[in-house]
Amino acid sequence: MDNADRQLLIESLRSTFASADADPAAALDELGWAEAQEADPAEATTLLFTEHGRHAVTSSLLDRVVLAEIGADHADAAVVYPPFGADHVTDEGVALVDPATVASVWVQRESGLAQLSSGELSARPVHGFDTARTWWRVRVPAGTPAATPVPQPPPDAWERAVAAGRRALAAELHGITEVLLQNAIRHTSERVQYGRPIAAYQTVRHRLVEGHAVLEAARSVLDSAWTDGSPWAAAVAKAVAGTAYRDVARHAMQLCGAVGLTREHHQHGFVERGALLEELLGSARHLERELGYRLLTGLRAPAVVEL
Amino acid sequence: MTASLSVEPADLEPGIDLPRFRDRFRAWLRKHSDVLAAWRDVHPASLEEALRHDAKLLVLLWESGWGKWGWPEAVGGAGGAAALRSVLIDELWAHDIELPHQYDSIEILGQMVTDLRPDLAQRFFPALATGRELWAQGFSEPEAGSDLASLRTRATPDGDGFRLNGQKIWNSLAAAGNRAFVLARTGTPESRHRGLTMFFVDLDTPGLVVRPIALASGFNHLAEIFLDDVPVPADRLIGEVDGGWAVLMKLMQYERGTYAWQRQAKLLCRLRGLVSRLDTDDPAAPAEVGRAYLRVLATRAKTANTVRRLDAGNTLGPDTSVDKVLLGAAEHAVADLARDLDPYGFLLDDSAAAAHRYDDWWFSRATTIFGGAGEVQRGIVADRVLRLPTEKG
Repeated sequence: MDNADRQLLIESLRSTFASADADPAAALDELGWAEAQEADPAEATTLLFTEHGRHAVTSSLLDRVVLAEIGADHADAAVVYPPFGADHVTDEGVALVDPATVASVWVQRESGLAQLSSGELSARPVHGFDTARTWWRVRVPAGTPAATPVPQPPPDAWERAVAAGRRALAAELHGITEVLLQNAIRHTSERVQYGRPIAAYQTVRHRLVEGHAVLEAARSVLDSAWTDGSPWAAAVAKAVAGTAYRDVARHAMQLCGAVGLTREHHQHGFVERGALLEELLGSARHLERELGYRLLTGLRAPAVVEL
Repeated sequence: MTASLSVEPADLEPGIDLPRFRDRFRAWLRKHSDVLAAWRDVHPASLEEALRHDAKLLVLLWESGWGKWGWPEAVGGAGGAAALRSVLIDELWAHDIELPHQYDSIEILGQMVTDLRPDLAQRFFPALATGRELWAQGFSEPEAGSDLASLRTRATPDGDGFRLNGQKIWNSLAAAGNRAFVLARTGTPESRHRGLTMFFVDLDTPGLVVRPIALASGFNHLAEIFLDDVPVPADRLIGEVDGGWAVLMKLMQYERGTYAWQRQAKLLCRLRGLVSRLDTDDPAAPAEVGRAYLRVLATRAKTANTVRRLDAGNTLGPDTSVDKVLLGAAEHAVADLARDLDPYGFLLDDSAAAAHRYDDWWFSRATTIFGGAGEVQRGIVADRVLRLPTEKG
């Protein structure tokens, strides 16, 4: 896509996400997002989710990405994601929408990917740490009846779905991380103490640079993960994005001082939303352990990036 | 040069792209794995011995034609995109072949002379590329390290040429070097970066003395250069008189870009070697290995972009300091991983292999000091990329 197209797309995404009462997913249909997505899935997905992150909004867009890999229609289905720290759903999971609003949900169980009838599920809305947005904790008891008819997704459907979800989430985390970093840069450049802006002090400058470097790296890694296309590369991209979020959030909260920790300041929303997205489909901490384990048990470290 | 007879020559079509070059080079590396084993898992007792051994691989690559790809025909190369060289370097490390130490000099100074003085490159570059010569950097001084613009080595006009007086230190590869880039003051003492000129100096010129400096590992990575009225002819200027800083900035984009790519390839190789040798039930090991691996890949992804941008003919700006910041973290992570995951095996070993592991570890610390210390790189990004208020107010 050329620069003018890209700019146009970003503008329309911004106005979509800025209008608080509209459902972004529906608005995107009107925008003709599907065509942009088809023309250049890597760039369109990254643009979309980065803007999503920059606005710290919630939507069911991640479900669309995941369901597309499963080969399921997103119109009347949702995804129940494994609880944070787990790779499948035992008896409870996390959803972005109320399962009662769709006919069925897709869920990765220990035995594999299943499509369940949502009528039997109980779900409750939770804000939790992400105070301004709603998540759903969904009970998925053993013996929940399958939806009928049961289509048979390919055996690697969930692995591919997780990879696609991780690439999208990495972009969303980049958007959040960028806002946190830009906030901190603005605040420290304006805030004067001892007669000069605090961004003129070396410790402050170096923290901001560290954040910028890790975010730049995360963006490069995500581009490579799209080119490479493997689940491994997607895990790498999510892990580096998670690390960038964690590092920048830590620096930003320190550098913006007391006001950045208040309800009056908008920083908290990005810190909160980022914390949940960092955990969804695997945190940096979880993924680095998993990747490291595979390397220690005989996998030759993949290069992921090629010239 | 008999070594070149033992391998097939590179038979590539002009304009070959990076993926096809990579595939063909991989096939060649596999085919000649037995010949190339001479540069796998080798542990020379000194840097000088390593350089002599490495030179044979340079000859093999050059004579077979692989090492010529990516260099212009005017300097003896085979033409093609410069990034072909970055592919070659990456693949050597990916096949566990120790990259010749001379590559540090070839990729940075060889490229500079090719860019700025093609006439000198035509004369001298083939000798550098085949290890018959080695070029060093002469920038830092005892009182001008991070604050390089304060350097005091003087170049005074003398007939058509110049005479150099002063002292350089921390000169990588100068102990075994034949020539060096020397940055000297041609302006007033207060001229800072505006009054500097870059010279290409023969290290065997009368009046010039090189004293090797061993890194803590015992390997002579560094040296100091004493210049006592050293004559340099006029045709040994790189760039303009008083234009040395611009030359240095150009050089830095290779040092922070292509060189950083080269280093990450080594780190990935070292990480693979370390993990394959390791037998640990330390519950913390997977996370530590994963973290180091991700740091290397972060550097790899970012520096790959830089190599692509250089290859597309872009002039790189202060953004390449980000590459150096990332690389430094990866360097330390991999070196510390080797020590931390097997402390007994790492710390109590007098073998030749261990000597090289110690050298890798000490060198990792040097990577965040040379070419602009980590603090300087961060300052550059702060000022010129993030545009923060300056420290000087």
